[in-house]
Amino acid sequence: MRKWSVISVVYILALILLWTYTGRVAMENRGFVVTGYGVTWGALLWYTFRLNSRERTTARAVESFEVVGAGE
Amino acid sequence: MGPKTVVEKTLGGLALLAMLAGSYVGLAVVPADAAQGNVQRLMYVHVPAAWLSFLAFFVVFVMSVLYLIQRDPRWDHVAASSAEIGVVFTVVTLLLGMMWGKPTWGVFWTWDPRLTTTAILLAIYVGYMALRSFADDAEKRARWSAIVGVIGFANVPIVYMSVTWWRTLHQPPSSPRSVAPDILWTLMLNLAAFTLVYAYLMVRRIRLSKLEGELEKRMAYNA
Amino acid sequence: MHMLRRAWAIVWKDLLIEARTKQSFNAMVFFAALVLFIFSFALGPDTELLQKVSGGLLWVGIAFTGLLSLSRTYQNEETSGGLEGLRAYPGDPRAIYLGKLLGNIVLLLLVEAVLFPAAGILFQANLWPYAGGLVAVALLGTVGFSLVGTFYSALTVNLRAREVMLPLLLFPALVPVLLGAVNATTLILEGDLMGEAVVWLRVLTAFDIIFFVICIWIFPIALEE
Repeated sequence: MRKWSVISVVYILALILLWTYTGRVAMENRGFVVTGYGVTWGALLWYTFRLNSRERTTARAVESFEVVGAGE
Repeated sequence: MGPKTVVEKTLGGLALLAMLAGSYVGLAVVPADAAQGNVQRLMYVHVPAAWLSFLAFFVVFVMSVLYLIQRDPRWDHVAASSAEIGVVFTVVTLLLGMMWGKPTWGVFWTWDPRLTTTAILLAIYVGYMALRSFADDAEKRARWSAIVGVIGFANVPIVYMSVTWWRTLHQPPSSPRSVAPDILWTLMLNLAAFTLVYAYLMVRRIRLSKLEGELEKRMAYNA
Repeated sequence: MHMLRRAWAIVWKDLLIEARTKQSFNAMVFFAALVLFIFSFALGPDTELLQKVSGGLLWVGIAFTGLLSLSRTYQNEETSGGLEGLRAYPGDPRAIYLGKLLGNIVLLLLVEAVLFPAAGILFQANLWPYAGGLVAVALLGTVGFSLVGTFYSALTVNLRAREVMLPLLLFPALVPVLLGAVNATTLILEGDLMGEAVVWLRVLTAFDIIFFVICIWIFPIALEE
């Protein structure tokens, strides 16, 4: 969970940095370029962290069955 | 849970580094395209995302055929994982296409053959995933989704051709210009980065898939 | 030969039940007519506009009506458990697919035989001069629709939420059929000055052949225990 928030903060900082940079080099259509790269990174990061949490919950569920099985 | 083995950690680290390098070069190093200007920088992530989604669905097809022949659950895990990652890449591809289309064509969406085919591809594999979520029995789910994986992929060229004909009755398809070397290099770098990301996500997703299979087995056993 | 006879037995059985009860046919015709009506209301009473989009309206109507009949494809086996009922038929499972496929094609073509003239009257278009072309499109389009439809409805028959799953799987797969049928119909109704309709008839034919081979080949796997 803490890793999640750190990554989110870094992600938003990177977006702000990118926005300032594209402004300084006066990139035309910077809104589209920044959104495009932001969406790509956002989707891949989001999916990776979804995998993390899904794996954690599934592993916990598997273990809980192990305990029940051992008791029998 | 996070990455487990050294190989996996290395793969993940490499993928992250390559993505960072690819985005950096694409955004800040390579000069703006002469004809399209800076919007063209979106191509460096759009084209790799599109390629990887096709690759991912091709893997689904191969694994589906393998499953139907050998009936080994391993192939089903790989196919399911590749389908899900492919859907993520397809959504990214479509969103990037819109980001590129608005300043270039003035609209977010146009019935361009490739764009349209990609959207239909998304619909086919969302159906594939929905079928998986509705089937309760592991063996039947694997068999049925393998069938959909085969039929869905066999349809892709026919869909593409029919959509192309549908459009080109009105407008000729644009032929690609010759590509400048630095554009090509940036594209290659990003393609390598996306391929690493795909490989890393596959390793993670296949492990999750096996874990889910294990959970299903235990639930059935205890029920 | 043996397989064809078995397939024919299934067609005969299902069509006989249908002829005695008319449980699907009446509902389908009524439903298809309603779809045409609703589209006409939605688009307004502009006859010229309606004529221009009539190809699309017709095939959307056929697609929805076909979906309705597909979900009832295996209803005669419903009491014996859907897929289990199908497996109980003796012999090659491909015969079952062929039989159900033919039954669906015949039923849908019968509905179209009512629907096309009805559309001609509603949209004030004289269809007679184009009858030959329209029959060809209807045949090829219906075969394509039924090929994939019969297959996917077998796959989803015992599934939870099959009412959602069937269109979700079917419609993306049918994109070439719908594009081909709609464009061919529209071109034929416009007089087909450039001879472009033939391209679409070829698309439909190619789709039919490819999916006939795939579905026949894979159906036994879908039906496995």
